[in-house]
Amino acid sequence: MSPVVVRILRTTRAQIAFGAIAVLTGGAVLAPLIAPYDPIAQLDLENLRLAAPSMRHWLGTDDLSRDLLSRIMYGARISLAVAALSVTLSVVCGTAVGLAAGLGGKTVDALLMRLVDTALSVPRLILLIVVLAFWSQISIPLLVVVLGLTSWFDTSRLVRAEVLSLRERAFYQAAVAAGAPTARMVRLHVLPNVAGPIIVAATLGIGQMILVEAGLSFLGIGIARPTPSWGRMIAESQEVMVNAWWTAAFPGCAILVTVLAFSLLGDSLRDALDPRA
Amino acid sequence: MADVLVDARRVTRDFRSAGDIFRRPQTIRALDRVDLTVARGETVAVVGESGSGKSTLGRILLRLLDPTDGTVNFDGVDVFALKREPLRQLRRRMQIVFQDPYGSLNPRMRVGDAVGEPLEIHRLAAGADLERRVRDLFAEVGLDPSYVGRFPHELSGGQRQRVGIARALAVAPDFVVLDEPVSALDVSVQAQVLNLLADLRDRRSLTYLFIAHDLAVVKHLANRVVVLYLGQVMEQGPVAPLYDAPLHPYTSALLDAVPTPDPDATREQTTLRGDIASYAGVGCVFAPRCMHQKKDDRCFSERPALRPFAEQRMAACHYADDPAKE
Repeated sequence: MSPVVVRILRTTRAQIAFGAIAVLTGGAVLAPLIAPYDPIAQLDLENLRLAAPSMRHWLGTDDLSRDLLSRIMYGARISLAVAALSVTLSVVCGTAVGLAAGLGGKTVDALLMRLVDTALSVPRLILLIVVLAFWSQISIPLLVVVLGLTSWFDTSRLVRAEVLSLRERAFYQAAVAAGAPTARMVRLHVLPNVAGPIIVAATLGIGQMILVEAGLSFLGIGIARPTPSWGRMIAESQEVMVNAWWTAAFPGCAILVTVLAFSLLGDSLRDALDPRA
Repeated sequence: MADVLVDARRVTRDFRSAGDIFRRPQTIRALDRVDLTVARGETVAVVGESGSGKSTLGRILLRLLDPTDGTVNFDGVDVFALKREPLRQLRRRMQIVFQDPYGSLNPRMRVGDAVGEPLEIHRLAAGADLERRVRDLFAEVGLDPSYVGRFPHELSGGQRQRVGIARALAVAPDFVVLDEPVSALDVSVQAQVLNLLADLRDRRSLTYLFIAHDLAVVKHLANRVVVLYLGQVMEQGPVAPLYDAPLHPYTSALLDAVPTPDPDATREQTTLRGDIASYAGVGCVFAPRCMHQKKDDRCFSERPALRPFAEQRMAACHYADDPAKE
């Protein structure tokens, strides 16, 4: 294993985060093989509605007699895939815009940053609701693209700020004095030095994105039914959760654990990527 | 004078602070019509306090910064008229060593790669040849060649500064700007690095512009000294007479600030009071802090011209006495 990975795994915090993410990802990837039931099958509307957690249904069932554990495992596939892909898209866009603003000169910088300011002044959820209102059916690729393209603004600012401070550093000036062309400057002197903050922001961003996706599903503008999604599982449990706490508690726990795990991982990465550590 | 390598004329640089709704943008003149020539093989020291414009001058000479006004000629070529490719060619011939040995090296680049980078950029070496030349450069600046694979944070300040020097020398430049190369180092290490710089100059017949904030450091290395204050030249001349009998009261003050190794020695001090301030635009820039006995109203109303004295010296003071005439 590379020294960085070893260094990251040195702390208990990182081990817990890694473990949680491994379990979540494993459960999501292997869901078709290990999930005890079909996540959308209504098992027995007569006898199994809102069954409490038991040996047969570890996390209980919902009011359509569907197995909650299976639904959470399948829901993880959606949540994790959408979050990971949209964060990737967002990081690529944000980095490109941030580099352009930081290196492109005053006019380019001013134009791009005013654009970002404008975008940031619109509340994220409102923006998403408005954009998603154009489609009647929301597919996974559509959701990824919309989430990715509406979340790079912060990253672009982060990258721009890092680039501007790098440009003042003596080693940057030394490379300019050596006659390094722009492409080389970006590849060797800029990207390696902004990679750390970007990776940390992306990791923390995955947790955020899971919350946003859950929020959208909760509001009924997520992935089309009947694909299970953590946010909508909570939404659907609203009327029954007083009598059947498990219908809201377990999907909520799934969100909590996932967001927390990525958050802890992000913090660990930040510490581990510091070359002086 | 001998063959002129660097010739800067009336170099002026303004910095504008960004204004906003509440503050007007302010213009600060970092350099005010500075003339500077450096002959081939010569070491010229530029001395002044923080804010005197000395680093700005060094950066302008290398076109790391654009002047507001004025020209810079390097070996007869107007540096600021060059297009991309000829500029890249010229950059090979002029290099810089920075003050801060922490900031001057990319923390994510192995020091061997940092030294080899200028060679790669100018396609002077590649592969095994590049590796060999980097190791030779390490040896030349007194570093163990086995350090090539290390990262900057694994080296001491003095070692990092040697890496910075090796990187500057990699492309065999004619002219090197040394921007306070020893200011951040321990005194014992300072002497080693100064000796190294002197050796390299003799061995490679380099031309130096040595930027420093005190006169002690440059005494043994420089041929000529230029004293800057608030972006204006106060005095310039060959080292020996300038140290023995400074013409300008600011030079005297800087010399008095040099610590004496003998704790019992009592010395007359013309200590500078206050900080470097802004220039009102009329009179002598140094007048508010000047301790000269003859200081009078003229100092506050008329800007003294930089005028010539014996032994190729110049000073900008109304009341500077030419020691050679007395």
